[in-house]
Amino acid sequence: MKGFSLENCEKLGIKELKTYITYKATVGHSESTNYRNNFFEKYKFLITKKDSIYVHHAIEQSILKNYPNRFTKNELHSIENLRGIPLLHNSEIHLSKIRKEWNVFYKQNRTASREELLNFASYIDLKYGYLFLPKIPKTE
Amino acid sequence: MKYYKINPEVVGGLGEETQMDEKYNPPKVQILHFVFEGWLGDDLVEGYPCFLISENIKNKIQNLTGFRIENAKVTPSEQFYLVHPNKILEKFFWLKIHGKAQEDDFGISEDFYLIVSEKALAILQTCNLHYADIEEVSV
Repeated sequence: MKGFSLENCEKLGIKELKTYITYKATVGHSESTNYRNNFFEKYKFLITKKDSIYVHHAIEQSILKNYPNRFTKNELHSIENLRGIPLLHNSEIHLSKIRKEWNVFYKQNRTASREELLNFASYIDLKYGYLFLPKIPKTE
Repeated sequence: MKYYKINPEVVGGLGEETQMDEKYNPPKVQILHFVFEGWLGDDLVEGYPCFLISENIKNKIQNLTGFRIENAKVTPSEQFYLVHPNKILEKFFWLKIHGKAQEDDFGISEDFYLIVSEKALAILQTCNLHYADIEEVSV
Protein backbone atom coordinates (compact mmCIF):
# COMPACT_ATOMS: atom_id res chain seq x y z
CA MET A 1 0.00 0.00 0.00
CA LYS A 2 1.56 3.33 -1.08
CA GLY A 3 2.66 5.63 1.74
CA PHE A 4 1.71 3.06 4.33
CA SER A 5 4.01 2.17 7.21
CA LEU A 6 3.68 0.99 10.77
CA GLU A 7 5.12 4.31 11.95
CA ASN A 8 2.42 6.11 10.04
CA CYS A 9 -0.22 4.06 11.81
CA GLU A 10 1.06 5.29 15.14
CA LYS A 11 1.29 8.90 13.96
CA LEU A 12 -2.26 8.67 12.77
CA GLY A 13 -3.30 7.26 16.14
CA ILE A 14 -4.26 3.91 14.71
CA LYS A 15 -2.52 1.93 17.40
CA GLU A 16 -4.89 -1.01 17.09
CA LEU A 17 -4.11 -1.39 13.41
CA LYS A 18 -0.40 -1.44 14.19
CA THR A 19 -1.03 -4.16 16.77
CA TYR A 20 -2.92 -6.18 14.21
CA ILE A 21 -0.20 -5.89 11.61
CA THR A 22 2.61 -6.82 13.98
CA TYR A 23 0.74 -9.53 15.91
CA LYS A 24 2.42 -12.92 15.91
CA ALA A 25 1.31 -16.05 17.74
CA THR A 26 4.06 -17.71 19.76
CA VAL A 27 4.60 -20.63 22.08
CA GLY A 28 6.53 -20.69 25.35
CA HIS A 29 7.54 -23.56 27.58
CA SER A 30 5.56 -25.09 30.39
CA GLU A 31 6.79 -27.65 32.91
CA SER A 32 3.22 -28.75 33.50
CA THR A 33 1.05 -30.35 30.84
CA ASN A 34 -2.08 -29.53 32.87
CA TYR A 35 -3.03 -26.77 30.46
CA ARG A 36 -6.23 -25.72 32.20
CA ASN A 37 -4.26 -25.11 35.38
CA ASN A 38 -1.61 -23.24 33.39
CA PHE A 39 -4.30 -21.00 31.90
CA PHE A 40 -6.14 -20.20 35.13
CA GLU A 41 -2.91 -19.67 37.06
CA LYS A 42 -1.99 -16.96 34.58
CA TYR A 43 -5.46 -15.46 34.30
CA LYS A 44 -6.52 -15.67 37.93
CA PHE A 45 -9.31 -13.17 37.39
CA LEU A 46 -11.10 -15.78 35.27
CA ILE A 47 -10.93 -18.58 37.83
CA THR A 48 -14.44 -17.95 39.14
CA LYS A 49 -15.71 -18.61 35.60
CA LYS A 50 -13.54 -21.71 35.19
CA ASP A 51 -16.43 -24.08 34.45
CA SER A 52 -17.71 -21.90 31.66
CA ILE A 53 -14.43 -21.36 29.83
CA TYR A 54 -13.01 -23.73 27.25
CA VAL A 55 -9.21 -23.62 27.00
CA HIS A 56 -8.27 -23.86 23.36
CA HIS A 57 -4.81 -24.62 21.94
CA ALA A 58 -3.86 -22.09 19.25
CA ILE A 59 -1.48 -24.67 17.77
CA GLU A 60 -3.68 -27.75 18.03
CA GLN A 61 -2.55 -30.81 19.97
CA SER A 62 -3.00 -33.09 16.94
CA ILE A 63 0.00 -31.29 15.37
CA LEU A 64 2.23 -33.45 17.54
CA LYS A 65 1.09 -36.39 15.42
CA ASN A 66 0.44 -34.66 12.09
CA TYR A 67 3.60 -32.54 12.05
CA PRO A 68 6.16 -34.35 14.21
CA ASN A 69 9.24 -32.50 15.45
CA ARG A 70 7.79 -29.00 14.95
CA PHE A 71 6.59 -28.49 18.53
CA THR A 72 6.87 -30.23 21.89
CA LYS A 73 4.01 -31.05 24.24
CA ASN A 74 5.46 -28.57 26.76
CA GLU A 75 5.31 -25.80 24.17
CA LEU A 76 1.70 -26.58 23.20
CA HIS A 77 0.56 -26.48 26.83
CA SER A 78 2.39 -23.22 27.53
CA ILE A 79 0.35 -20.15 28.37
CA GLU A 80 1.42 -18.45 25.14
CA ASN A 81 -0.44 -21.13 23.17
CA LEU A 82 -3.65 -21.17 25.23
CA ARG A 83 -6.83 -19.22 24.51
CA GLY A 84 -9.90 -19.00 26.70
CA ILE A 85 -13.25 -19.27 24.95
CA PRO A 86 -16.35 -18.51 27.01
CA LEU A 87 -18.95 -21.25 26.66
CA LEU A 88 -21.96 -19.47 25.25
CA HIS A 89 -24.77 -20.89 23.14
CA ASN A 90 -22.75 -20.52 19.94
CA SER A 91 -19.21 -21.19 21.18
CA GLU A 92 -19.10 -24.73 19.79
CA ILE A 93 -20.01 -23.31 16.37
CA HIS A 94 -16.97 -21.02 16.57
CA LEU A 95 -14.71 -23.82 17.78
CA SER A 96 -15.96 -25.99 14.94
CA LYS A 97 -15.17 -23.24 12.42
CA ILE A 98 -11.64 -22.89 13.80
CA ARG A 99 -11.11 -26.66 13.55
CA LYS A 100 -12.42 -26.64 9.97
CA GLU A 101 -10.01 -23.85 8.98
CA TRP A 102 -7.07 -25.79 10.44
CA ASN A 103 -8.22 -28.93 8.65
CA VAL A 104 -8.10 -27.15 5.29
CA PHE A 105 -4.67 -25.76 6.17
CA TYR A 106 -3.38 -29.29 6.93
CA LYS A 107 -4.63 -30.53 3.56
CA GLN A 108 -2.98 -27.71 1.70
CA ASN A 109 0.27 -27.53 3.65
CA ARG A 110 1.52 -31.03 4.29
CA THR A 111 5.09 -30.00 4.88
CA ALA A 112 4.40 -26.79 6.82
CA SER A 113 7.27 -25.60 8.96
CA ARG A 114 7.00 -24.48 12.57
CA GLU A 115 7.01 -20.89 11.32
CA GLU A 116 4.21 -21.51 8.84
CA LEU A 117 2.11 -23.22 11.51
CA LEU A 118 2.62 -20.22 13.81
CA ASN A 119 1.69 -17.88 10.97
CA PHE A 120 -1.59 -19.72 10.48
CA ALA A 121 -2.23 -19.63 14.24
CA SER A 122 -1.71 -15.84 14.02
CA TYR A 123 -4.29 -15.64 11.24
CA ILE A 124 -6.81 -17.61 13.33
CA ASP A 125 -6.11 -15.41 16.36
CA LEU A 126 -6.70 -12.26 14.34
CA LYS A 127 -9.91 -13.65 12.85
CA TYR A 128 -11.46 -15.11 16.01
CA GLY A 129 -9.50 -13.31 18.76
CA TYR A 130 -12.44 -11.03 19.55
CA LEU A 131 -14.18 -14.12 20.98
CA PHE A 132 -11.34 -15.06 23.31
CA LEU A 133 -10.84 -14.30 26.97
CA PRO A 134 -8.67 -12.29 27.24
CA LYS A 135 -9.18 -10.88 23.77
CA ILE A 136 -6.41 -11.31 21.20
CA PRO A 137 -4.48 -9.36 20.14
CA LYS A 138 -4.11 -7.19 23.18
CA THR A 139 -4.16 -3.58 22.04
CA GLU A 140 -2.35 -2.03 24.99
CA MET B 1 -23.50 -39.13 -12.65
CA LYS B 2 -22.93 -36.07 -10.49
CA TYR B 3 -20.25 -35.94 -7.80
CA TYR B 4 -19.97 -33.74 -4.74
CA LYS B 5 -17.10 -32.46 -2.61
CA ILE B 6 -17.89 -32.72 1.09
CA ASN B 7 -16.11 -30.83 3.83
CA PRO B 8 -17.54 -32.55 6.92
CA GLU B 9 -17.86 -31.24 10.46
CA VAL B 10 -14.37 -31.26 11.99
CA VAL B 11 -14.61 -32.64 15.50
CA GLY B 12 -11.04 -33.23 16.63
CA GLY B 13 -7.93 -35.04 15.58
CA LEU B 14 -5.42 -37.79 16.03
CA GLY B 15 -4.80 -39.02 19.55
CA GLU B 16 -1.56 -40.18 21.12
CA GLU B 17 -2.15 -43.87 20.41
CA THR B 18 -2.45 -43.38 16.64
CA GLN B 19 0.16 -45.22 14.62
CA MET B 20 0.91 -43.97 11.14
CA ASP B 21 3.45 -43.77 8.39
CA GLU B 22 4.30 -40.14 7.65
CA LYS B 23 6.21 -40.99 4.49
CA TYR B 24 2.91 -40.87 2.63
CA ASN B 25 0.93 -37.76 1.80
CA PRO B 26 -1.59 -37.73 3.42
CA PRO B 27 -0.01 -39.87 6.14
CA LYS B 28 -1.05 -43.51 6.10
CA VAL B 29 -2.77 -44.24 9.41
CA GLN B 30 -2.45 -47.85 10.54
CA ILE B 31 -4.05 -47.70 13.98
CA LEU B 32 -6.45 -44.85 14.66
CA HIS B 33 -6.97 -43.22 18.02
CA PHE B 34 -9.31 -40.30 17.43
CA VAL B 35 -10.02 -37.60 20.02
CA PHE B 36 -13.32 -35.71 19.83
CA GLU B 37 -12.80 -32.12 20.98
CA GLY B 38 -16.41 -31.23 20.29
CA TRP B 39 -19.35 -32.53 18.28
CA LEU B 40 -22.29 -30.63 16.87
CA GLY B 41 -24.01 -33.91 16.02
CA ASP B 42 -23.20 -34.85 12.41
CA ASP B 43 -22.99 -38.52 11.46
CA LEU B 44 -20.03 -37.99 9.10
CA VAL B 45 -17.10 -36.18 10.70
CA GLU B 46 -13.48 -35.49 9.97
CA GLY B 47 -10.17 -34.77 11.66
CA TYR B 48 -7.27 -34.71 9.24
CA PRO B 49 -6.38 -37.16 7.75
CA CYS B 50 -9.30 -39.42 8.81
CA PHE B 51 -13.05 -39.62 8.34
CA LEU B 52 -15.43 -41.24 10.79
CA ILE B 53 -19.06 -42.28 10.54
CA SER B 54 -21.78 -43.12 13.01
CA GLU B 55 -23.51 -46.49 13.16
CA ASN B 56 -26.46 -44.84 11.42
CA ILE B 57 -24.42 -44.17 8.27
CA LYS B 58 -22.51 -47.45 8.55
CA ASN B 59 -25.74 -49.41 8.22
CA LYS B 60 -26.86 -47.49 5.16
CA ILE B 61 -23.78 -47.48 2.92
CA GLN B 62 -22.88 -51.16 2.84
CA ASN B 63 -23.68 -51.49 -0.88
CA LEU B 64 -21.64 -48.49 -2.00
CA THR B 65 -18.05 -48.56 -3.28
CA GLY B 66 -14.68 -47.00 -2.49
CA PHE B 67 -14.31 -47.53 1.24
CA ARG B 68 -13.71 -49.97 4.06
CA ILE B 69 -15.05 -49.61 7.57
CA GLU B 70 -12.75 -50.33 10.49
CA ASN B 71 -12.84 -49.89 14.22
CA ALA B 72 -10.99 -47.05 15.85
CA LYS B 73 -10.36 -46.03 19.40
CA VAL B 74 -12.57 -42.97 19.84
CA THR B 75 -12.30 -40.93 23.02
CA PRO B 76 -13.70 -37.58 24.15
CA SER B 77 -11.13 -34.92 25.02
CA GLU B 78 -10.70 -33.71 28.60
CA GLN B 79 -12.96 -30.76 27.83
CA PHE B 80 -15.57 -32.49 25.65
CA TYR B 81 -18.13 -32.76 28.44
CA LEU B 82 -17.45 -29.19 29.51
CA VAL B 83 -18.79 -28.08 26.14
CA HIS B 84 -21.47 -30.80 25.92
CA PRO B 85 -22.48 -31.69 29.48
CA ASN B 86 -25.55 -33.61 28.35
CA LYS B 87 -24.33 -35.13 25.13
CA ILE B 88 -23.61 -38.82 24.75
CA LEU B 89 -20.79 -39.47 22.31
CA GLU B 90 -22.07 -42.15 19.97
CA LYS B 91 -20.01 -45.02 18.64
CA PHE B 92 -18.05 -43.93 15.57
CA PHE B 93 -16.29 -46.04 12.97
CA TRP B 94 -13.30 -45.27 10.81
CA LEU B 95 -14.28 -44.71 7.16
CA LYS B 96 -11.13 -45.70 5.26
CA ILE B 97 -11.46 -44.43 1.73
CA HIS B 98 -9.57 -46.08 -1.09
CA GLY B 99 -11.90 -45.25 -3.98
CA LYS B 100 -11.11 -43.08 -6.95
CA ALA B 101 -12.74 -39.63 -6.95
CA GLN B 102 -15.52 -39.32 -9.52
CA GLU B 103 -15.52 -43.06 -10.23
CA ASP B 104 -16.40 -44.74 -6.93
CA ASP B 105 -19.16 -43.70 -4.54
CA PHE B 106 -16.49 -42.53 -2.09
CA GLY B 107 -13.14 -41.19 -3.25
CA ILE B 108 -10.44 -38.71 -2.30
CA SER B 109 -9.51 -35.88 -4.63
CA GLU B 110 -5.92 -34.92 -5.39
CA ASP B 111 -6.20 -32.10 -2.88
CA PHE B 112 -7.42 -34.56 -0.21
CA TYR B 113 -11.11 -33.71 -0.18
CA LEU B 114 -13.86 -36.30 0.15
CA ILE B 115 -15.73 -36.76 -3.12
CA VAL B 116 -18.99 -38.71 -3.12
CA SER B 117 -21.40 -39.80 -5.80
CA GLU B 118 -24.91 -38.46 -6.09
CA LYS B 119 -26.16 -41.81 -4.83
CA ALA B 120 -23.89 -41.68 -1.76
CA LEU B 121 -24.85 -38.07 -1.01
CA ALA B 122 -28.55 -38.95 -1.14
CA ILE B 123 -27.95 -41.61 1.52
CA LEU B 124 -25.74 -39.34 3.66
CA GLN B 125 -28.41 -36.68 3.58
CA THR B 126 -30.90 -39.02 5.23
CA CYS B 127 -28.56 -38.79 8.27
CA ASN B 128 -27.31 -35.76 10.20
CA LEU B 129 -25.14 -33.70 7.88
CA HIS B 130 -25.96 -30.19 9.04
CA TYR B 131 -22.42 -28.83 9.43
CA ALA B 132 -20.83 -30.20 6.26
CA ASP B 133 -20.06 -27.91 3.34
CA ILE B 134 -21.20 -29.57 0.13
CA GLU B 135 -20.55 -28.46 -3.42
CA GLU B 136 -20.98 -30.09 -6.78
CA VAL B 137 -17.75 -31.05 -8.49
CA SER B 138 -17.47 -29.77 -12.02
CA VAL B 139 -16.22 -32.35 -14.50
